[in-house]
Parts: sequence; structure tokens; C-alpha cells
Amino acid sequence: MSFFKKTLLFTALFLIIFGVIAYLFLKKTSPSNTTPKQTEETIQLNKQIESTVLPEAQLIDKGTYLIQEGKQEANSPNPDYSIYYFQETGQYSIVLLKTPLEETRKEAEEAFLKQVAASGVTKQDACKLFVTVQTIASVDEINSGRNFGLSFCPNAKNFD
Amino acid sequence: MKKSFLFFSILLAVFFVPSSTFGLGNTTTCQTTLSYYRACVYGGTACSTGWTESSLACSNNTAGETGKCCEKSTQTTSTGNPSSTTTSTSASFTYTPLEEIPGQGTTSDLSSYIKGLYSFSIFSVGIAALLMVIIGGFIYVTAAGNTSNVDKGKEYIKDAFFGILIAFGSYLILYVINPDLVNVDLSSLSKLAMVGGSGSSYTEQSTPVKGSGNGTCDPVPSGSCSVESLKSTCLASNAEAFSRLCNKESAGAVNSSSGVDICSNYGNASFSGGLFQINVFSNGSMLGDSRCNNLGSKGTCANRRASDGVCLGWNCQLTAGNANDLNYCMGLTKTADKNISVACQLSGNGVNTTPWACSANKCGLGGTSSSFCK
Repeated sequence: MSFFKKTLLFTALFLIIFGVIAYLFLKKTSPSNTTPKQTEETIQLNKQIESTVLPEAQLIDKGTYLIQEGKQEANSPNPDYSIYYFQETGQYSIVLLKTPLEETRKEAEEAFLKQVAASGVTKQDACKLFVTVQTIASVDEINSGRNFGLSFCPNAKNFD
Repeated sequence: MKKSFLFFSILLAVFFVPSSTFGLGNTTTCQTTLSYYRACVYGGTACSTGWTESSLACSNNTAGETGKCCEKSTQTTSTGNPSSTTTSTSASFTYTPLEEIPGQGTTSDLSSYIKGLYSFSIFSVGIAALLMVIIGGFIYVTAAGNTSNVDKGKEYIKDAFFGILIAFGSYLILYVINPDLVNVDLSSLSKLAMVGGSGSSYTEQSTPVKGSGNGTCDPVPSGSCSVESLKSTCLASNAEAFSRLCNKESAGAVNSSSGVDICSNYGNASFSGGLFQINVFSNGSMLGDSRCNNLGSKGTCANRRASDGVCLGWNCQLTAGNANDLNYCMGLTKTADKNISVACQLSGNGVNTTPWACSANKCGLGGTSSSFCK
């Protein structure tokens, strides 16, 4: 193989490797935002929900509303679950505070769907919203710190 | 041959542009470095005495404001607060090198020194490669038909280009694997301190928050425990790590109460609560209210779960007349500012995750796992 051909081959390889690295670099340095970008549709859905839900909700922190709590048993320091809404990011946070988590998730989901249904938001629409379903370390140390999603949505995960 | 060299020159020129853009440059945002403590202040607040306003950019806070970047040299003995509400600290490793790195000037900290060494080695590789290309070219043109020398000259030139490729490619490859590998950011490290008065043993004062565990804790996406929000607090130096920790502890719910730190003999009232599940018996005095200074203790375990030995309720021993104070102080832990303030005191402004050892370990943020952790 002539030197010229070798050079061409080497150049081609270099460009391919450089292209792959540049692609990976750009992909990796794109903003790693844990907050999903709100689309026009989700903004509209949130507006619908806000108009009916927020007047009844309790403002507990800057832009953070406590929408609903589950029942609280006599021997428990916490309700079974709490549902929060963060207005700035349009996030609904369902915090499960009773085990078994699977049962509590079902119960909390029903309550959440009932809340949003009052605004005309369907179960299918609920999957388009930014909803996290989590628990805390003092309730379940293994499963805390992760988002398990709504059980009927594509991003749902099972508890360990 | 000439065309090949020309082509390579263009190729390298193209390669140089992104390489110089990618790194080794100065940080343009308001971040603490080894030379300066830096923090953003918002809401028109001026930098405090001892802090100066820097021209560095501050990212928007949760309210969308663009803040001022206050900075202070790490050579000073005390960090203080950049404003009345925000602090940002880190350990400093400054020194004066005996000899400066050619072309890099005098560096005063380890991070800059390592970066300087890297830059210098890249220049060295470039010069060596140029030299080898010249030698190879000389052998090639003076081969006078000797095929052995022709091949030898080509080999020199080829190897020189490979060397350049490897030297420049290493930065990109390391950056793609993990940007921290090339940033050489040592701000999260803390100094070693001697503890104990008479002994000669040394121990780490704190645990680095970036552990090597395989935890899967997500950062809190919204509210007071989101990464963006924590960046404007005294946990700024490790906002993401503490956002993950907060998620594990409370799911970012400001009014959450512990499910296990409860007083069985006081109607199952919790004694830990809020974003970082602050224990009011152990850390009540950090809440800044005299009513929380001496609440009592959790006492003995009243209800232990047989399966894993976790205590689900305690026989709390409250200081006389403090039953109402317990509720009052728990209320304080459920205000975001108070809770984060105590977390800052416990963690040394975001350096130490030991107070949350179990959660930190599970999240891969340092800490230790023990039989106490589930």
C-alpha cells in the first residue's frame, strides 16, 4: 500500500474516531436536567389542574403546594401518602409513607387521578404530566431516593 | 507527500480549535476554586465586608434572577458569608512552587499546577513530533533510492503523527469518560485535621461526599432541595450530592416526618423531620431557638422490628414541660431555610455526609454501611 493510501486511510480513521468522540462529547455535555421540559400540552394541562386544585391546596414552601394527604392511622406519625405540586416546574410529587409501597402507590394514584379528573384530565393525560412517585428513607431505605412513576404509565418501575 | 502533510496540517488545525475550546481554560461561572471562595447572591443583596464582587457569571436562581458573584481569597483565615444568606466554602491547597512551569506562569494551587503540567506536556509532544517529522523528512529526501531509508523516513513521520493523535486524543477521551477527570477540581476535598489532644494519631475530619458506591438516588427536581435551589445556599459547594441525599431522606418534601424516629410514649410524635430529617434531640440547638436547646433524649427502644432490628419507636425522655417544645421544634425543622441551615452546620457547609451515613452510603455519596443501616 502506498504512503498516500496509508495517509488517506489513517485520515479517514482519524475523522471517524474524532466524529464519534465529538458526538459523545456533545451528547454528554448537553444540559443534564432532571426536570422534563414542559411542552405546550403539559403547560395547558397544568393550568387546567391549577385552576381547580390550587385554591384548595396548602402552600407549604415557596411555590410548593400540599395537594392532598392520605389517611393517618392513630399509631403513625405520617399520613399514608402526601401529594405535592411544585408550581415552578409543574411537578407533582407523590410521596409514599406507608408500606407495602405497592398498595400505597395504588391508593395514592387513585387520589391523584380523582384530583386531576376534576379539571378534565384523564388517566392517559396524567402520563403526560411530570409526576414522581417516591418514598423516604425512614419508611423504606432500599426504595427511597428513586422515582417509581405512576404504575399505569410507560415509565413505571417496580419496587425492590 | 506534500499534499499529505498539507492535509494533516489542516486536520490538526481543525482538531486544535475544539481542543482549546474544551478545556484548560478558565471557569467562567461563579464557582469556588482553590484560590477563591465564590458564591452567588440574589435579590439585589450586596457582597458582605471582606468579599468583593467578581465579574464572573451567576446562573439564574429558581426565581430566574441573575445574581452577583461574590468572591474572597482562600488565603484568608475565615470564610464568613458572602451575603447574609449564602456561603460557599472549600478546602484550599495553596503554595508557592520553587520553579514555574515554562509558559504557564506561577501557579499557586495544585489544580492549576496539574493543568499547567498537562499543557506543557502537550506543547512538548507537539515540538517533539515536529522534530521527528523534520528528521523523518530529511531521511526520506536523502534516501536517494535506498528503500530501507525511504521506509525508515516514512515510519518516523507516521509515528510522529500517531504520537500527536494520542496526546491530543487523550484529553477528549478522558473528558468523554468523565469531565471531572480533566477538571482537576479539588474543591470538594477537605483538609486533614488532628483530633484528640494528646495522641499522635491523625484521622480524617470529614468524609468526602463523592463516594464510589453504586447508589441510584436521583436529585430532587423541584423546590428547596433541587440542585438549582441548593446552589444558592451554604450547600452550594456540593449542591447535587445534597440534593440526592435530600431525596433519599425526605423526597424533597419540606413537611415530612420520620417514620422511625418517633416517641411511642408521646403519641408517636416524630423527633426527626424536614428536608434532611433533622433530629431535634441531637441537633435542636442548631435550629437557633432556645426552646430547642435541651429537649431531652430519645431514650430506649420501645418497639424493635424483629426482621432487621430497626427500632420503630422510642421511650423518649423529654425535659419536664417540653412536650409542646418538641412539636414547636419539629415545626422549625419543617421550614426549608432552618432545615438547610442545620444541614449546613452538620455537614460543614456541604463537605461531610457522615450525619446521614446510611443514606449517603446507599446513594454512593460517601458514608458508611453498618448493621445499623437496613
